[in-house]
Amino acid sequence: MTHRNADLLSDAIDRWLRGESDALRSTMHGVAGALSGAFPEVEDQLARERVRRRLRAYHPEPRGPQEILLERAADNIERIARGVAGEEYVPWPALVGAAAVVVGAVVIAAYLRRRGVVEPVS
Amino acid sequence: MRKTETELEEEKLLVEAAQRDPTAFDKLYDRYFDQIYSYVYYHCGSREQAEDITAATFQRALENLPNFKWRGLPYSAWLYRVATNLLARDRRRPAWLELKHEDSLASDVPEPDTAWLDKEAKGELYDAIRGLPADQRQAVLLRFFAGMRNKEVGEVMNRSEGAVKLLVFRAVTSLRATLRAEDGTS
Repeated sequence: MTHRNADLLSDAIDRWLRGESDALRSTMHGVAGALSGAFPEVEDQLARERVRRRLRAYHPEPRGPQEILLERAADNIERIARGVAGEEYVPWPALVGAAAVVVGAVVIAAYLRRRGVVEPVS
Repeated sequence: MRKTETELEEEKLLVEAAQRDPTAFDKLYDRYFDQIYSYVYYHCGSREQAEDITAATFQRALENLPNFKWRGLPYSAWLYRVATNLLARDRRRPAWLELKHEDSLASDVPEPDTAWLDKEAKGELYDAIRGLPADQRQAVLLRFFAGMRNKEVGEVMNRSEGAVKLLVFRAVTSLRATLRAEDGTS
């Protein structure tokens, strides 16, 4: 049900992005509609010029593929850490359930194997 | 909002021009500054922090320009990805600390589509967004502010399209519950 509702909401957002202005009007009791108008673009000319000056004073050093790979690895580790810290959503019940199934399967396999060795089926 | 084929082609030409001549990067900068600055500002709630992270994002863009390979996704998607990673790393202050309703965006930017949404309701909405987990907030901003498709959001956040759909759905469900609770309705 959650997946179906997520699909419906996603379709409504896509229709809104394609220009159907009332696509979100009744979706999720108006919250999605409120979000569609909640983020006008911020224009800050002073910030734009300050950052431009900073960039002009900056002389980049091209980075090698290894550095980029290391950075991506660091990003992934960071993301896992955020998940553990609760800053990102992680489906813990599903993960714990899957881990329990794996552990259970290993225990049963070990038990059956041991039983098979000790009490061979005749 | 979603980019047309013509806009994507134009963007590709701008990137290639900047790869040949770094001074041409100015055009990319002018094209994307407001988008990236706004995204970071809505995410962190501080103009100072938004400026720093936006500057770092464009510095990273300059560094990576020679290695950038066009894959048919908007260049802005790559910029959003860099900004998202920098936001996650920037732990100098709590998110949204400085965003106050009286002197924030709500008062000094045009509100073409939001006349129906009064200032108080908007403040409650920003408060509720502030309470979302970082990944849900990012997904909401990338969908509703940046106007990205699920696939593009997935590229930015390193998630599958299905995961993005669920993140947005959970965010909207959570916002609805928060706003209802504030309303006093059940």
